Amino acid sequence: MKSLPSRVNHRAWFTLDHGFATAEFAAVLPSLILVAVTILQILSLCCTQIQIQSMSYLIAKNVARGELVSDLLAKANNGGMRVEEFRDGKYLTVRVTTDRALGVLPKKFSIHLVAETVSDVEPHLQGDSRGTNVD
Amino acid sequence: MATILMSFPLFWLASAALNFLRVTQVADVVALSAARQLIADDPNPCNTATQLAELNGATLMDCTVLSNSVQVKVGSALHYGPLGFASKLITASANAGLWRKEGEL
Repeated sequence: MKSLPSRVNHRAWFTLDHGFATAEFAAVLPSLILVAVTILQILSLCCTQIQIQSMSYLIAKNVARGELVSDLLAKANNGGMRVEEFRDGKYLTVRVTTDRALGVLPKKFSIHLVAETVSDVEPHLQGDSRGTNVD
Repeated sequence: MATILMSFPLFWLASAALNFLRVTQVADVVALSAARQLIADDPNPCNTATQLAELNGATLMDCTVLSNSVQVKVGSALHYGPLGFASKLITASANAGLWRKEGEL
């Protein structure tokens, strides 16, 4: 009958690598952290771009239809976005910009994200040419 | 090196998701614009739709004027690599027009 391994045998099995695995893990850990941080940064940038893209689309659509966008502008300002509106004849361009910091890096290394949507304005609103920053 | 290698597919996926969202939104804006022109008795609302799609960085691929609505299909190319040797066309469709609820005059 085969006996179960003793406690001493267990300890011997664990100490077989003489700490090599721990040392290798310690060497690889910075790279793993770098990969994880990079992935998180890309996802974060992507989410921010989706937010500003959706914001520019919603503002352009609502302004073109003559609807109020004060709640959207308030939401954009709270999220640190800058909203600009340009009118050229019957076309309305809404540009939403924001600066996204990269982790713990200083602000000068932040990434500038821009989203623009062009829409045409309803005929009765075409005379109202503001062409200004709306934030 | 691993970071760079892992970043490329992630960038591509993120780019594809963003492009798809953008094309869907452009299709909405273009359809609304074309419907607005149709209601304003413009004989060819697809001209405005074409211009607007181009201004938004997309291409109007199809524009069908129905009795009181417009159906548009907008496309935009997504490049696979930095060299742009291969690309995939992302399309989105949208309808806009006058609809009345059942029983409404």
